[in-house]
Amino acid sequence: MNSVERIGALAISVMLIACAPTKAPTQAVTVSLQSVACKDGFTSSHARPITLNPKEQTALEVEISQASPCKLDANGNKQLYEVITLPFTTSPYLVSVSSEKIGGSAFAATAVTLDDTEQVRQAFNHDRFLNRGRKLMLHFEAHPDERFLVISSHADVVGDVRKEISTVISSQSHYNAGFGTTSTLYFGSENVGGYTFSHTGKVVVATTAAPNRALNEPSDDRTARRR
Amino acid sequence: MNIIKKTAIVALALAVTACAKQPQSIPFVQPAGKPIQVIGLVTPHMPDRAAALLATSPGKNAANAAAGAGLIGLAVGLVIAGIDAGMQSSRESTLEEMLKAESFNAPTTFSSALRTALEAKGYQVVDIPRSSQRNAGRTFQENYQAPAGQNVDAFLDILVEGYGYGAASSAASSPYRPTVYTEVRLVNADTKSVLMWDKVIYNPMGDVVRDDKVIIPPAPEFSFVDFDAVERAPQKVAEGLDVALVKTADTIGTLLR
Repeated sequence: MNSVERIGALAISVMLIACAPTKAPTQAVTVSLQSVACKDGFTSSHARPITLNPKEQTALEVEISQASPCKLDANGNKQLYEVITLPFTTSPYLVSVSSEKIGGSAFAATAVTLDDTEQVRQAFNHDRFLNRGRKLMLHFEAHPDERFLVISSHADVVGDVRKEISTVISSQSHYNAGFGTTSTLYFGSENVGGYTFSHTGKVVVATTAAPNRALNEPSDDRTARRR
Repeated sequence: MNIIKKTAIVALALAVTACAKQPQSIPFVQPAGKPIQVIGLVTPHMPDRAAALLATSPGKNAANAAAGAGLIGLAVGLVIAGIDAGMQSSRESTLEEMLKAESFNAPTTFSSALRTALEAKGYQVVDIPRSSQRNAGRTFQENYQAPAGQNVDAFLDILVEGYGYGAASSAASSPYRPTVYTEVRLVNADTKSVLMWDKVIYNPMGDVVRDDKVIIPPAPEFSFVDFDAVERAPQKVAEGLDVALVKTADTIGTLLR
């Protein structure tokens, strides 16, 4: 094979790789924890810290896997969990916990915050995780005395399947050289998808500064901006 | 640079800015010392009638394409857009008559569902009439006032920006389904601070990626392959809208826990 043929072969390989469809991300669906050993209590010994930056969002990706610690809930059900150490602050701030729907699976999340004596300060049941974008998301205001965020799987809904219908609008812009103008065409379609709740999965925890809750800012500005 | 190009650049810049300043919702917080027990439910603002929306259509695209072809194209585009708007208005009149014949009253249904949702979360509810302020229909209330002799801890102000039936396109694979768009604000009666602000949308017509709003996927059973199918099933159409409004109200209640 001469150098021209080699370059040609290389170019074809590069083109094939570039044109190959990218594989959609997936995550396992874990319905049973039969083989996982569980403890009665919870431990914060391997908690991961998240910081608070008053100027921008800070995010921490957490993988709840079969290697995560396991505890028993009030009904004796096994649940996997991870612990996040919340930032030391002097004023309230916002926390979001997002369970991402990946490859037909979503972590079945519940969450509690604990103070430094490990007493529950706020508890968020599974139904507090609402659909936002492509995530199931909990959004709450945390207080300086809250020290830990415990994110656990919720055995009652694990294995449940959710069907989701959504409308997708895509657009294509065309430049009309003759008139020097651009026109945009819109195409709508309906997607039918779904996901299964799992004991394992990816969760993103994020902190941001507390919002301005003054009556005319920022909510009214938002309203005006959209109109 | 002609004015159309300048406008396009400004529009693009605005779009980019809008993405960069993606608004965040404000989660509910109970005020320290005096928890919210009595909510003044301001009569929600709702459009006069249900919408029958086709999110995209060959007509709209033809109007867009023609409008880009000089002044004559613009004139043609406006005519096509006018025909499309006329068809939508006709569908909405039909939908309005159907809902009336089914004795379906969307404002009553929604207010009643909100009351139920709030009471289920342990709140007492006091009805507050919407004021007749300027632009009262398009924005949140400027001032909140409890009726004489009534104690109210917070005011729940809801703008229903649209409700009705919508389809992604005229294709049979994109059926008409119920849709409801709301923006919600809870205001502390004492401090006038915002205790919660959010958007709740049942079956949004596109824009399902951003996390600045709560999205409620539509119930699969209320699906009509085209508007003729809508017209043939008035009872099911009213039932679908009822489910959408009740589910939206219930989700608003969940945001206040």
